[in-house]
Amino acid sequence: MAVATTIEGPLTKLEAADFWHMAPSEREPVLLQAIAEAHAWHYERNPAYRRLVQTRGVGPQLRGADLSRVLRTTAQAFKSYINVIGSAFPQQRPQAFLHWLADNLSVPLPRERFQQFEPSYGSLEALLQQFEAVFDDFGFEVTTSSGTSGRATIMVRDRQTVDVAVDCFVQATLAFLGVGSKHNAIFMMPRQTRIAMARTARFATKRLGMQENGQVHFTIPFPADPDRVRIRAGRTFQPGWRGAIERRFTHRIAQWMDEHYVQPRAVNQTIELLKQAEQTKAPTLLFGGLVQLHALSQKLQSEGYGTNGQKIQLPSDSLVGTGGGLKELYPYSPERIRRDIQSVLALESGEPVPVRDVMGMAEANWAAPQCIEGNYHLPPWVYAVALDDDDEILPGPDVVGLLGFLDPLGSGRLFPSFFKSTDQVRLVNGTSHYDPGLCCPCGHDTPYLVNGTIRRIDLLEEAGCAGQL
Amino acid sequence: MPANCRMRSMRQQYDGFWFPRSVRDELLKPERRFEVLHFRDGTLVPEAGSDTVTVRYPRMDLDDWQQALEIVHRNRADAQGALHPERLPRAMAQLQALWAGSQNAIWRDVLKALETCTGHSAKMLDMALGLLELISVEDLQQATASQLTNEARAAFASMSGLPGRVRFFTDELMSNLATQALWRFKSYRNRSMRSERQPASMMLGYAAGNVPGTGLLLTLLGLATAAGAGEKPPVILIRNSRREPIFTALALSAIEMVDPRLLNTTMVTVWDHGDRDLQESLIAQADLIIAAASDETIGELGAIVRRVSKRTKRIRFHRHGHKVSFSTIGRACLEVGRQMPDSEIALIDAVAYLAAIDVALWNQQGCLSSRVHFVEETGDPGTHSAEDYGRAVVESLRELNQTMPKANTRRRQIHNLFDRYQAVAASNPLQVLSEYDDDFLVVLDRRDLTGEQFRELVNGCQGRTVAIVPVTDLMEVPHRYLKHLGRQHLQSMSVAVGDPDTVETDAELLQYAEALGAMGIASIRTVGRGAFPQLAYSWDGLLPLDLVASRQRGYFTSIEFNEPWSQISETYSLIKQATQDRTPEQ
Repeated sequence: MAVATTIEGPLTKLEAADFWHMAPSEREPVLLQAIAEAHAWHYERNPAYRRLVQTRGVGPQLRGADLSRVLRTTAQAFKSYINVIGSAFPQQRPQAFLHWLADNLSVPLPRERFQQFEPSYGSLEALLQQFEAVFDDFGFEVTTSSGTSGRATIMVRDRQTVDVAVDCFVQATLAFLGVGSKHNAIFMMPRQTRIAMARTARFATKRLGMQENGQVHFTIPFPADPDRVRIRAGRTFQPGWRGAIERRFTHRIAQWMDEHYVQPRAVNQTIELLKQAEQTKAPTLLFGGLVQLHALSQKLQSEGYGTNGQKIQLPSDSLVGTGGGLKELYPYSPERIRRDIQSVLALESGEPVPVRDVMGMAEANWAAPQCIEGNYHLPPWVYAVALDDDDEILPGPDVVGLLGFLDPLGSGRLFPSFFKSTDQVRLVNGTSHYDPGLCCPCGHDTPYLVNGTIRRIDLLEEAGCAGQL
Repeated sequence: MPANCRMRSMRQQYDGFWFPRSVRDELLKPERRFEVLHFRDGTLVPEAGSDTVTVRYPRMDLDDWQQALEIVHRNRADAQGALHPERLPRAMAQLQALWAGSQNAIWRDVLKALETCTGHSAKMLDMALGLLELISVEDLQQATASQLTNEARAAFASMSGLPGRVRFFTDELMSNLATQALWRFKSYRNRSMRSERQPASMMLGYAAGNVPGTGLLLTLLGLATAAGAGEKPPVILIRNSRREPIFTALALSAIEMVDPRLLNTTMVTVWDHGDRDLQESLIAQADLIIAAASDETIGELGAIVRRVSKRTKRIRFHRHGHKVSFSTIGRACLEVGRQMPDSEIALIDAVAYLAAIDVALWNQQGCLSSRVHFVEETGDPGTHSAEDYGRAVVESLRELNQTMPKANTRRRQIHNLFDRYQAVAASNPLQVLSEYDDDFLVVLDRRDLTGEQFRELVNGCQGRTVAIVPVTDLMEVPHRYLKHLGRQHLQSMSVAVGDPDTVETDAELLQYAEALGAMGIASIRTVGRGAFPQLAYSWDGLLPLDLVASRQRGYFTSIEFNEPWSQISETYSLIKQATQDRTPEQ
C-alpha cells in the first residue's frame, strides 16, 4: 500500500511507509527523534519560528517538556502578515509582504529579486503569480485557506512538500476511503484554485493516472482565486475606492453569478456525471463541500429523486466525500446534509451511498478521513496531541482538548509543520499515549478523532459588557 | 433568619432569587417548583456533583407574577412616606460588618460559592467585594438630592455636597447655541438645569452576570435615588443573571436581617428573556427600565419598550451596554525620583500598581476594566520612559497574580495574543514586555496606529492584557485615538494626571476632562478606582437624578474627585492594606 516518501533536508531518510508497519507503541520514539531533528533544522534557518520558540524558552535542542511550546496556532501562523504589514491586502504592500514571507521560510530568499516586484498589484492572485514566477527555481507554490473571512492564510509550499501532501492524500486518504485508480472522481470544486485540499486532490488523482484517462472532473466552472473568494464572501473589502467598487458592484455581481450560474452549473454537471456513472457502472467518488453537496441533493429532490425510493444508483465502491466543514452560517446541520445526500444517492445494492468526511486544514500536509465507524484517522507519522486550556499536552489515551500535531515528515524544507489547531476534539490513542484496548473498531490503529467531537473554537472569547468593538 | 439564608460551611445549595417575606409567604408554598442551575469552575454543568454549586429560582407563571407584584405594590402603598435617608447606609454598613474580614466564615462561604459560579478566584472576589466601602450610598442619595445648574452645560461644575464635578453635553444644536449666547449672564449660569420630576413607581432592572453584584447595584440605585428625592421606594424588580445568580440574593438576605422592611418592594429572580409574554407584561408595567446587559439584549428590550410604550405612559429606558475603559498616566508620574505624597514609594510604581488593578479586577470581563494605558512621555532627561512604566505594570500584574489570581485561567488566550504581538514586534515599533509564562500580557505599542489597528488593539485587551500607548500630548488621547471608537463604546478613564503638588483638580486635568467628555467618556476616576463605580456619578452618561427625572437629550461626564493625588494615595494605602489583610489561602 505504501509509497516510499523520502525527505532530504531536515530529516535523514524518514519514510512514511515504515509507519504503517510499525507498532503504535514504537512510533513515538521515532517521531520524537524526527521532530527534534526537524526542530533543530528549522530553528537554525527560520527566523520567525526561531523567534517564536525563543520567546517561549525553547532553544535549538528540543526537550520532551518543550513539545507543546513549539506548536504554532494555525489561525495565526500564516495569517500574521496582516498584523505585521498592517494590511489584509498584501497586494498593496508587496515589499513588506515579501519580507514577511522571507522571515517565515527556512530557505533564504535572494532579496535582490524583490526589486522585480511592482509597488502594488491589482489583486492578491497577481502578486502570488509574480512570486511563483520570480522564484520559479525554488519550485514554490502558494496555497491559501478558503478565505471566506476575507483574511486568507497564505502558505508557501515547494514540490517536495506538495509531494508529501499528495502522497498522504493518496495513501492515507484515498486508500483509506477505498478509492483507487479505477474510480471516477467528481470534485465539486474548481480545477484552478489555491485552496490546499482542492489542489492536493487534483495532484493526487493525477498521480494515480486518473486524469489522463478522463476519470477526473472538476465541476465548478470558474477558477477560485483568493480575491474572488473574498469578494464573494462579502466580509472584507479593500480600503478606499477599490473597496467601494468591490462592495457595491463586484460583490453583488459575484453573488448573483454564484447563485444563478456557477452553483447551478456545477450542480447540473455533477448530476449529469452521476447519471453517466450510473449507466457506465464505474465506481465513483463524489467529493465536495457540504454546502455544494447539499445544493446537489436539493436539486435532485426537486427532480423527484428521494421520493418513492427513486435514487441515482451508483456502482458498489462508490462513495461521497465531504470536506471543508461549514465555514459560513448555514441553516442545515452536517448530519441533515448527509441524510439528504443519502436520500437521493444510493449504491446499486440499494444501500445508502457511504458519506465520509475528510478533516483537513490549510496548514497541514495531511488529511484525516472518516472510517466506517465515523472516526477521523490521522496518518501514523503525525504526532497527535490534545492540549488543555493552558496549552499543556493532556496525558492519557482518551482526552478532550485542542488538537495539536507535529508532522516531521510533512515539514519539508520550508517551515516546521508543528501546529495547534482551532478545533476542540476527543483524541484517542494520540501518539504519546497508546492503549490497544481503545483501537478504533474499524481496525485502523492510528490516532483518531471521535466522530461528532470536532468543534471549532474562538481564539478570543468575548465576555461581559466589555465586548468587542 | 430568612428561609433563603441558610448558613453552613461547604454550602452547595443557594437561591438565585430574593423576595420579601410577604411574597415568600404567599408564593413559596411547598408545591412550588424550581429551576436549578449547576455550576463548576465558572461554567454551567448538566448535573450536580461534589464540586458544584446548585442555584435555584422559582418557576412562576403570569398569575404568580401578578400576585407577587400586587403584594409589592401594596407594600409600597402601605409605606409611611419616603425612605429615611439613614436607613440604607446603615444597612449597607451592617452588611459590610457582617461579611467583613477574610476570616469570617460566612464570607468565606460566599466567596467559595462565587468562585465556583463565576470562575473568578476567591482572592479576587474578596478584594473586589471587600472594598465595597469605596461605593458610597450616602453620596448616591446626596447626588439625587443635589441640583445642577446651567453652569454644567459649558464647564465642569461642582456637585453640591459631593466631591467632584459634572459636565453636561447635548447634541441639540439649538441648545448649544443658546448656551453660548446666554453663558455670559450669571443668572443663566446659576439657574437650575431644567428637568421634569418623574419618580418611578416601578423600576425594572436587568443585571448582567459578568461582574458579581450588578443586581445589588441596581437595587441600591433604585432605593437610594428614591430616598434622595424624598420619594417612596419604587417597586424594584431585578432580572438576575444566570451567569452569576447568588451574590445579590445573599446580600439582600443579609440586609433583610438588618432591616426587614427596607426591601419590602424589591424582588430579584431569574426569568427567561425569550418569554415574550412575560417580558412584555413586566415592561409594560414599569416606568423605568435599567438594562446592564449585552447590546443584543438591550436591542431586544428596546424593541419591546417601543412596542408597549403609550403616549400616556412613556417608559424610560436606560441602556448600559458594551463599553471600554482606559487609563491615562500623566508625565508627572514619570519623573525620576518623584514619590507618592507622604511616602517613599516611587510614584511611577504606585501608579503602575493602581493602573494594574484597573486592568486585573474582573479580568477585563467588565466594561470598567482598563484596556489601554496612555502614557504621557516627554523623553526629557530625568524622566522615565514608557518602557519603564510598562515594566512596572508587568511587576504589578505579577504581584497581583499572587494576591488576586485569575483562577480559571485559560492561558491559551494570552498565549495566542503573545504570539500575535511577538510576530508584529519583529518588524514594528512594538514590544512585548511580559513573558510567555505570565498569565497576563503587557505590550508597548509605538506604532502609528490606524483607526482599525487601534480598535483591534482594544479588542485584543482581554484576560489581563494591557496595551501601553505613549503620547506626547494628552490631547492625542481623545483626538487621535478615542475618536476611532465611537461615543457609544466609551465608558471611563482612570487618571493620574496633573501636578501632584497641586491639591485640587488643576487646569490641565480639567482641560483634558473636557476633551474626554466631548468625545464621550462618561466618568473620570483616579487610577485604582476604575473598577469601583461611584453610583453618585455618571454611569454611561446618566446621573442618579435621571432615575427620578427626565431632561433634555444628552449625557453627563463626571469627575469623581476633588483632590486626585490625595485620593490616589488613599486608594494605594487601602488596597495594599486589603491585600495584606487577606490570608494566603482562603
